[in-house]
Amino acid sequence: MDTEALEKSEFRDPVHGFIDVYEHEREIIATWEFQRLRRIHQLGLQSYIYHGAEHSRFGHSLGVMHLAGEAVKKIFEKNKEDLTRSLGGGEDESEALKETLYFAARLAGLLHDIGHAPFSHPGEDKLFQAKLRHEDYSVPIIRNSRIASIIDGYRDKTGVSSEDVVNILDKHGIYHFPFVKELISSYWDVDKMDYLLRDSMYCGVEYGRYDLPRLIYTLTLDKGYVSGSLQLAIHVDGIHTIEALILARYFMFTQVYFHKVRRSFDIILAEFIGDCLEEEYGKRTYPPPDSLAEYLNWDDNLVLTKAREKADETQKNLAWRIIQRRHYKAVYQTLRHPDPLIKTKVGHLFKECEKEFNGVRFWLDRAAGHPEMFKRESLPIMGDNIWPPASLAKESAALEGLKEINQYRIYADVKEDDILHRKIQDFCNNFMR
Amino acid sequence: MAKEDRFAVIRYLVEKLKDVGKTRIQKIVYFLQYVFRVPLDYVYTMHYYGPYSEELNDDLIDMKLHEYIAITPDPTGYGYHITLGGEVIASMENTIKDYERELENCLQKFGQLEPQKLELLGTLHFVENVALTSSKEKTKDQIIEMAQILKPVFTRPYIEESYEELKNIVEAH
Repeated sequence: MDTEALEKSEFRDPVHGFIDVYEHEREIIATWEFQRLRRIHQLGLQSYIYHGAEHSRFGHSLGVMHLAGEAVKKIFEKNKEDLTRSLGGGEDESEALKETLYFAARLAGLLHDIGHAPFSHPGEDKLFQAKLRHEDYSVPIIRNSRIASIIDGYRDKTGVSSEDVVNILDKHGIYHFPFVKELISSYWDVDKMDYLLRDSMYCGVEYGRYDLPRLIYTLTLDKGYVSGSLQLAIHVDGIHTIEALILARYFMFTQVYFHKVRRSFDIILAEFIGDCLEEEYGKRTYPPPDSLAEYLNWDDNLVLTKAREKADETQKNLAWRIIQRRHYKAVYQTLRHPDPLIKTKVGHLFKECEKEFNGVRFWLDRAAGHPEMFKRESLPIMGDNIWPPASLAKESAALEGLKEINQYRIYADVKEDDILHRKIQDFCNNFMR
Repeated sequence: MAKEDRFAVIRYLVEKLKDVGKTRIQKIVYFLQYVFRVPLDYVYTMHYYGPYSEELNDDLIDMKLHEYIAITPDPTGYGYHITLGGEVIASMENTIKDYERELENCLQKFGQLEPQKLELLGTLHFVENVALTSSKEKTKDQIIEMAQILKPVFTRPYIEESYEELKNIVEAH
């Protein structure tokens, strides 16, 4: 393996500054499948609330690639002996292993979102065939496009095969160094590290910010303490940065991703795309992974073009709502952490609304996120004088009070009728009183 | 399987297993799904502690929110105790009736095993039956080798012995 033999260029990234891009990565970036990510908005129609949020999966994928590589470098420096030994190798193989892990993590980071559907997440639970998710398209895309041959063609220089990348990305894949999988997909993965900063920057909010350089610098492995495998851990000096990451994610969920207007447009997009799919294929789901060309044809531009063609103000249809930014109105919402009694009552309210306002369509939306899950997984805390490793779940006082988000909202299609909107709001408030 | 039915199955397992940790419940549900064919439809990935389903974890948190179960952290900071919550699931009896035999068999074969043993058996089963493969059939040696990479704490003879043990359980079923 000879890294020096790889040509390198720099891309200017708005979040991370200059990032290195190697020639095989450039070839992948140039493929049709990767360029498509320019046409997939990172946050659906979030720009209808925060107008700067026009960024795409393309930039995010480059950011994740960069962070995955930086994290592996730092982790390797601190755990060189353990990692080399776990492969049964000696000092001589150490440098080669470091480069292999570096390139493997970067390629997995670069390609982790290659299978995304239009507008990223809206409608994911409805628009894919049973149990499928965008991740289920990533592996077939890599295997059945030029991407696999590009990766394999550079194997003598990177030490990485396309199947290695597939094994890191696929939920059923097994990679010899599980911490790389954890780095790409877990509660403290580089995906979150990038999107929190990127989404904050493009939305113009500060909620997602935390000390990234410190976090990367303090990532390490647990010497096999927790499960016998070398597992991702954090140095004791990094506790506050990982807490900040977790809190940042919580704030971004409550303030940005679960914003009531964003959730309304998620419903609208999912319904509209469902209609388009039905028109095209007779069913409201994307083509399956064995019809990749068909699936990859769907991007934001196609959906927006269809919306522009179908927009009809007289009918106030879905297409018109998308083009003219007219969302369904929230007529009732709970707090973010409602007690169980309220939750049951909202279900009853929803049914009562449908009975009382015959002809008006209602949607019951549940915005749920589990920041507490960060606590549920025990990120080990390492330090020179700390053995056995402590657990973030136990040591973090700052995360102690964090609760699951579980906000219910009822939306109504009131056809821009403000009087009807208020009438329904009053009905809801009276019911819940 | 509908969410309510999944909840019923999990609550039943928690009831039978009494105080159960996350690793154990994850593995018992894994075997229930893959060996005893109860259609829970959870997606499992390979985790440090063997097969793990994020969706099952989400269900556990949801069940906690509905107070069907209680989840309390272990004082060490590693692991959790799952016990019954105050709320009951109305349809539980009907759901359990449909899968009674599978549940009993699963609990009989795996319910008494220690989490570490379940981890290893789950890993072996996952490597053989679920893990991604580039079309080549996996030999016993390859499976054991892979399990050893994933679970370096276990010796090769112990992994081999566990492989045979698992084979017997699966074949008997």
